[in-house]
Amino acid sequence: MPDPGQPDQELLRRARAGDEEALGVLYQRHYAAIYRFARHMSGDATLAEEAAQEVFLALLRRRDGYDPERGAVAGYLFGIARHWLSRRWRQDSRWAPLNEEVAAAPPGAAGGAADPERRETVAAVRRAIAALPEHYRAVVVLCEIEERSYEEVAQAMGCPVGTIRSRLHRARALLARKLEPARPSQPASPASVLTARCQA
Amino acid sequence: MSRRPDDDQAAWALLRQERERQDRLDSALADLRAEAEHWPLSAWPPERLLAACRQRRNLRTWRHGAWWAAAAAAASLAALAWLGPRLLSPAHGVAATAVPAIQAPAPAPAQVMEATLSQPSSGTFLPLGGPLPADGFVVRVNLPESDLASLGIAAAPGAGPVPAEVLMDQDGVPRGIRFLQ
Repeated sequence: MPDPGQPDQELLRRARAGDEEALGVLYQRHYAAIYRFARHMSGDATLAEEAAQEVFLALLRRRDGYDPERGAVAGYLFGIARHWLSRRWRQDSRWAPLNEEVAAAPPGAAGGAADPERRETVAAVRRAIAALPEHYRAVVVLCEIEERSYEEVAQAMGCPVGTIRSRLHRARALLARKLEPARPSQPASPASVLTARCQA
Repeated sequence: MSRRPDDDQAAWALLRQERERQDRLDSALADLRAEAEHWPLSAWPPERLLAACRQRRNLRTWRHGAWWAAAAAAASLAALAWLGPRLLSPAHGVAATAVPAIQAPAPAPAQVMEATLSQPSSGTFLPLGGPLPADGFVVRVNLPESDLASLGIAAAPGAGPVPAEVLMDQDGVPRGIRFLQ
């Protein structure tokens, strides 16, 4: 039985050599996060389970995929999951395009909030996340829901940390706008008010 | 440039509104996070993953065995390529027949003796099993009576050690002996 405190890199090496116990420890350590990421991204529990399993299969089969110098194993796994989902959506786009209806009522929707108003807000956020472009959605899920570091997210997304920050900022603004209740006329944003004031 | 109180109030109101919106978003995201913690998950890899892991192990074992087999085959071929011509060529036979020529009766042991001793003795060496070497060297010794008996030479009782010269081969094996007395 491998030491539970063993680093991911060593466990990965042993799992690739056929050590089922090492694979088990890696699975216990990362499966839940990968599953949640895939489910938040897709809004589909079955697809998320399939994605998470495919991630581990790819982990076993890819010989030269993981580079320890580029970051942690977790970021690498999220990257595989993101690529797998993108590929899957491209393949399935002819038959079942992801839309708001699909993500609107995933199993156990808004089960965490007792207050009906909050439940509605959570459902609205879920719909809003599902409607985001994929690269914004992944950043929101990883940074805000999975609470991963910018470095890990940058590794998973294959882009610099600065890009992740700007995408997150933009995605939050989009989400906040979607959560805003409908109004007869849109007021000026605080930034525009301040700019106007400075120019006065 | 003058500040108008209405502008300040409007800006603050918008900032407050933005802050509330962000707080609402954070709260909803936290609820989403909490909800996801309760999703049912399997604790151990499914059989499909374990089978893939076993397959990796078997493949690795097979590759390991195949590598050693290939290495052994390559070593055998190399050995055959190196030894083959030597075993099969006529030169090998010539070398074998050359051995007796080397072992043939040597040049005169006296010459060897002259090369190695400042005061050479006369007489011939008695072979001690096998031919006398052509390029040996001579060592002068005093042989005790017991050693004379082991050489099959009867010595008078109480005669004491007998001086002799031993002809040594290049490999240090005694090949001949000559008694000086």
